[in-house]
Amino acid sequence: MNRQLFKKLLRDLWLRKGSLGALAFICTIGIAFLISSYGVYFDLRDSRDSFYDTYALADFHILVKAAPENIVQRLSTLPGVGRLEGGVQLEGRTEVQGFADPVQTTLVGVPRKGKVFNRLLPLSGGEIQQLETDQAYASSAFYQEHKLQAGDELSVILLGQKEDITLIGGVQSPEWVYVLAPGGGLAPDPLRTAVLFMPLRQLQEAGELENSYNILMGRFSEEIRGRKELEKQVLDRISAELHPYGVTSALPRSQFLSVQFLESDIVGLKVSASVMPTLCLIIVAVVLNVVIGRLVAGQRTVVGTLKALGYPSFSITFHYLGFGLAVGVLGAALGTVLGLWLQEGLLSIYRSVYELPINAAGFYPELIAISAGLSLGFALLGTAFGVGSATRLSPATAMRPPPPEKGGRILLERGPAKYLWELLPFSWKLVLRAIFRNPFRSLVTFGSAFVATTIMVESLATGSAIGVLIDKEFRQAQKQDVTVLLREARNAVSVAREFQSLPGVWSVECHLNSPAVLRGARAGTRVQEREVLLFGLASDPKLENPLRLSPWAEENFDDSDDGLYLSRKLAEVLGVDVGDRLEVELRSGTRRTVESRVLGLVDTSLGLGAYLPARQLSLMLGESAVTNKILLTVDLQKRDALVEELQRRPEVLNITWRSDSLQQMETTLQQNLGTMLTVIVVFSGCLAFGAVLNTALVSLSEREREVGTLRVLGYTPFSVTAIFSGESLLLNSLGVIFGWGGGIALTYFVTRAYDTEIFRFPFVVEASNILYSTLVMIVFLIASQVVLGLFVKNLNWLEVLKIRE
Amino acid sequence: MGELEVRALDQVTLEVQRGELLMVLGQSGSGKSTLLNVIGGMDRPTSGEVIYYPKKDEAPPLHLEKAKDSALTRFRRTYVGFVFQFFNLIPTLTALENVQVATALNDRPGPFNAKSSLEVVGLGDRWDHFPSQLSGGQQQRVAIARALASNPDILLCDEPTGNLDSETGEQVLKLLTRVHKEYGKTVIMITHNPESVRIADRVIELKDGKVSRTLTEDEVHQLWQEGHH
Repeated sequence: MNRQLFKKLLRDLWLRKGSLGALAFICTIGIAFLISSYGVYFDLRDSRDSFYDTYALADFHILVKAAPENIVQRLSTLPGVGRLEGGVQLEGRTEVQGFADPVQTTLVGVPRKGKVFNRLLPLSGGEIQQLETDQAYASSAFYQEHKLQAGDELSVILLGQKEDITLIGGVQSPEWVYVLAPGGGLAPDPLRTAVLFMPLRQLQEAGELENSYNILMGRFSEEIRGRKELEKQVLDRISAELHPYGVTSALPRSQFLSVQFLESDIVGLKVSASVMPTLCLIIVAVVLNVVIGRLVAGQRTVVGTLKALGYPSFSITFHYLGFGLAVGVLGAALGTVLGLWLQEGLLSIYRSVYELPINAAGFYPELIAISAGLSLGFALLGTAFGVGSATRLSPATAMRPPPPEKGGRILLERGPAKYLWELLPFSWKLVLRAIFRNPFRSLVTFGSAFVATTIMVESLATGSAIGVLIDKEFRQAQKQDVTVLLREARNAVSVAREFQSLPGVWSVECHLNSPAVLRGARAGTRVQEREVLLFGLASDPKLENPLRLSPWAEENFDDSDDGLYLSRKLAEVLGVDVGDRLEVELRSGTRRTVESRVLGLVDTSLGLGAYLPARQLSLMLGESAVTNKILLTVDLQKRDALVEELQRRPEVLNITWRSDSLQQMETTLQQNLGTMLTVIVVFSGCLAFGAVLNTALVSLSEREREVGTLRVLGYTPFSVTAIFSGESLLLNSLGVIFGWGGGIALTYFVTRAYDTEIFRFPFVVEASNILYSTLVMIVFLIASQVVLGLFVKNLNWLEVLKIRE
Repeated sequence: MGELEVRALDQVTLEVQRGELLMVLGQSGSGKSTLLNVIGGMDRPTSGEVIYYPKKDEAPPLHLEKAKDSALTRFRRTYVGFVFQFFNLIPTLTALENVQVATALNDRPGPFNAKSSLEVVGLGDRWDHFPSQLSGGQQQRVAIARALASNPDILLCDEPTGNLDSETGEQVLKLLTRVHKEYGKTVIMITHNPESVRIADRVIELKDGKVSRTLTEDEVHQLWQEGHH
């Protein structure tokens, strides 16, 4: 391109800064969306992988009552075992000065030589310090939430004994990335939940585990690592060897709670990262194509002149590609900056949820290359189409203005429809003809409104689904005020009597939880098994009753039932249905393996639950009516007195207030989900705004003479804009209405994609989701029409009319 | 019903001498512009021959009717300067830059560069004005400077005064006469304006795509008189 043409390009770009700006805007939105969504996904995935790797997350955890230390050496020689490490994990409570509620605390033993698996990363950086007696590191969220500092003192209550400890600092551990209190809600509550890392020897003494471990962490040998079947066999073998020491749980890494939560979030991110930005970018690409094509086609006379002067077609095409290039480069640059900023913002949400060292927003050149390439590619394609139609003509033809638009009647003017057509005012005839004569552009306008509405409805519906999930699981299925877990199961009758007399207690209900392994026993299929918690329900459960979620199960539940009600997901995982037989391997009490059968399915949304009468469970465990989970309704005025009384009892493992859990979940959701939904809604709205504005500007540029004529006839800019808005209004209304359906369908798809063992989102689309999306679309559409109005107002229509035909 | 074939030019035989100023008259639709486009290598005839004979030894005769697009592009770039009724200046370039758009392509040595060709047309002091800052006559003079600057053999002018008032039109005609006489350019000019015919060496009239006649000197004089009054 010679200097003159380059100058021409720069000045043309400057002259059309308004419309090119609108185009670069939509490009920016599409690219920022893609970069931030994929960026967050990559960042989170890579941070997790590198943390697990560097800090040696174990391949499996086996919890036992107590196993002698020397068993580690013996089991390490088993085939398939790479390395084993023993440890101690205890449940206790911590008192933080100035904070009234007890902090549910898991105490984790750290050997003098340091941990082999699940190593610790100090918040302050550097190496972990060797712990002396009464020294501890605290989990990072708890440490930060309570604004603790090295040297601060805490009181830890373990088996009724109180010990004062000194904090060394905050740490992150690959094992404790997502810290939930047992019996707590869905969201971490770092004010009331903590993990403290203390000297192993001290915990062994405090937990009456001298020369013993109660957890074994290990890694499979390199030959079998990653081969699920073999891994399972090895894990079964170790569990069998440990049987005499009371195995309560044996989980592969994929079933660790933290791993599952993080994985489910990463999977969700991947789904949303691939669906939404892709849809947006398609719209952006098509809009770029239409607008640039039109822009260049409008320069037909100049193209003809340049050809007449002897410029070859390729150098003219090259010159005009500058338009596409400018928009593409600007869009890619701004989109990258906005995308990275947004990526960092979204990452900070994940940092507040996960105790994971999440790197600063990563810069992924391949991502930027792909998105820039896409936007550039489509911008250039549009240019090539537009300029191609002009350069293919002979210069003589190109210099003549294009022949008048094809007249002809559109579909609506023919056949019986013509009688209706006659009734339309002229402005609507203009609108309808414009729509039908530019089918591709009409489709783009329609498509962008459709995509934006679809994304909005789906995002808002996901928000509603989480609300519904919380409501079902924590309001419908649970009615108690407090849940108290006991360290050991005790006689239910005496516990009920005892708790009834505690201050402020209105009613008591005794349940029983017990770990077990369930195996599907359906003939002919491969046996699937899962380690689950059996929920033994009180005989007439008024407080917690998950069976309430499926009325049929609730009605049929009977204290004498000899069988299990399974959550639908658990039944699916085990490959069983109502009436099928199950094998139940108890992980406490008698540790027997018994046969049972599926009595019914329950539509729960969280975890894999199995429910049966507490009385039956007691019998299976070889006990008579015992309890380890007490539900209370209480006089909230007397909360403090009750807490004080409960804290005094060494048998109490954990106290959870339902209102606290609910409040914590709802606050977290409001903050995190709220932010994400706002981002998505604003993005979709901007996308629709940009697309509508751009296509309307194209329409305007094609019909400048119409505008001029109408203005000559005395139409105000407002009334002229109103006519043009008719086109946008009609196409967008259709797009929005179809978008409702699209949103419902996408919600269904995402709900299916999110169906994991820890979460099942209910398929919910509320009227308010649709209403709100529609309102947002209306706001953005009005905004785009206001901008369009400014363009109409500023159009030099006298000049337009002077241009020769 | 098939499409109607419109013959813009039909059986035209025309020979133009080097250094001649040929004026083409005719009503609208008579085929004047098509004739000019065919001569300038901007369109190809469906049949017949269009031959351009460059100066001695410069190049062999060029058969425009069967030349490839690239050859036509080179032909226009080297031998032809166009002046259009609507000037066809690029609105976002200054007068000088508009001229440079043509000179940038041409390595044929000539008497002018971009700046001096603007001086020839009397716009040496307006070189940095944009087309929108120039009057119609001035814009047309820039177009003439653009046509001159690349030192073409032929100037093809399509109603160069058609969009100008008579006084400005007169100035443009004088300029074209000067270019023709002083620099020996072959000029083929289409006009509607009977007044312009007086500067022509030869005047032909087109009717329904055919050369209907060549006007005699008397007829030219009479036409000019009519126009003048």
